[in-house]
Amino acid sequence: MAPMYIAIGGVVLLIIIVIGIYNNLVGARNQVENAFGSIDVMLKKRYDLIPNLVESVKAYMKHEKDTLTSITELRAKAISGNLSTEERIDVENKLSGMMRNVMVAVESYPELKADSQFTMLQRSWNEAEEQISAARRAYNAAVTSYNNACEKFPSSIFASMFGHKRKAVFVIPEVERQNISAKALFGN
Amino acid sequence: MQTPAEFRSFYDRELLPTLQNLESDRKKLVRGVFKWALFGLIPGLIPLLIFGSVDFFWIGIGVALAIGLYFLLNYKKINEIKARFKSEVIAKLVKSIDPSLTYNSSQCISSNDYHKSKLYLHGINRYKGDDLVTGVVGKTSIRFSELLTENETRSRDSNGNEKKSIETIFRGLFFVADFNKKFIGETIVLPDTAESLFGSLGTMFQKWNMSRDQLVKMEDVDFEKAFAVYSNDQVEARYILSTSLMQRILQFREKTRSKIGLSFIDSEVFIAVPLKENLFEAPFFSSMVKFDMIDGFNKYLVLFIGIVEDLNLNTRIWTKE
Repeated sequence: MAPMYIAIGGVVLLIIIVIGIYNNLVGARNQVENAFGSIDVMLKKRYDLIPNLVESVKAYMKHEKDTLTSITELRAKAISGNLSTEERIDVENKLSGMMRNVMVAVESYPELKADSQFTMLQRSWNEAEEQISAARRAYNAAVTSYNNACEKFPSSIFASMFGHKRKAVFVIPEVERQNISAKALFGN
Repeated sequence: MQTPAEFRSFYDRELLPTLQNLESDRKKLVRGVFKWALFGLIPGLIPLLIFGSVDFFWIGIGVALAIGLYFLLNYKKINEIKARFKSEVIAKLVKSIDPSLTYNSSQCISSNDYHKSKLYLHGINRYKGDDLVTGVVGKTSIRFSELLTENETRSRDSNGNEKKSIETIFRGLFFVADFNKKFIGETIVLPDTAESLFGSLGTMFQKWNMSRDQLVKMEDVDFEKAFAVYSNDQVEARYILSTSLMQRILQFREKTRSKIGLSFIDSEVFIAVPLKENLFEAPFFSSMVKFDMIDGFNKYLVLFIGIVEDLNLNTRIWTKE
């Protein structure tokens, strides 16, 4: 009788371990999706700021009129919702780059810098940028822990069995990496 | 900030005369101790004159009583010297670093701040502290003081005798400042012991820490080794702990050479720096005119007032003014 109990015990233990590993994989994958969603939330916050920012600088920045128009267009494209992920990232990067140029150009418009409504928007912009960067870092951390679960033994066996595949981390483009030094824009 | 040479000249010019003054008062009081101790020998010496033998028991009692009585009678004077040391020396040190700051020798960080920080969850029933510094550095309001929190427990041994034991929960400097970013969640950065000792197994233990929120894995390897971050919001924790702030915190930790803990709650940053020594106190049985001692106190003040610069708290480029 005893060997049978041991065998049953062994099987039960094995099932518990497999359930644990499976749940861990699902949990990790959901965390990745959740983190991806939070990037979206932060990006949306930034889109909401754009019309106000464009509106408040338009009156002062006569020379940057073209840039401002294309920013508005890009924003419309980004929120339209019918872009592939790659296209969206491309639009995002263009948008960030142009906004950065606008923020640098602000330096040559003293009246604009003195405008309290604009400075508040500018601060909100910095905040949104920093939050997006935080959301991306959170996403990368979630992906790393998911990838670890997919590739580390023994959960790697079950990962391939249940169709869990490695995900790519967010690669932040070179231009974006510089953008966090918002301090430089304001001369601290 | 003052250079070492500037501080030396400030010490010579502003503090040395006060210290010398205090020192002569201190010496008078210490001489009194020895004089009274000599009187205390008398009852022990009487048997020597009568019987020709010394009774150490009576000598001990006499001296102890005399010294005890002396301290009882001069308690006020000794405290006065200690208080003057604080109000005339430590207060000047604080003002020399930033004239807008206020120093209060008898007050400390409120227990409300201490509990709010959630850095130490252990129950306490003794709370005391002193040397509170408050004020605004640039755009950032700060406050810090020495703090000692303890938990006293009474238990009975097998013979029914009551035993009292005191456990120190925190001893050191406790710092609170207004943080430069707005946030609503709670993020707590604790010194990491599990991970540095047990590696990835330690991370597992950290995840199971039931008294804390979710564990947040940061991408900065050095930071991860030194700290364990807990938060109720993964994104917000990273919003607060930007890559540059993590580096700054690490550098600050190096400077303190202590197992510091930080928490970010209610748009404020709380920093606990455990220290072994009791700072900003006047010595009684050794000289007060010691440059190294004053220099040491000054370095702690500079370090804490400098947190604003070290953690870049005056950079107000986000919506919080």
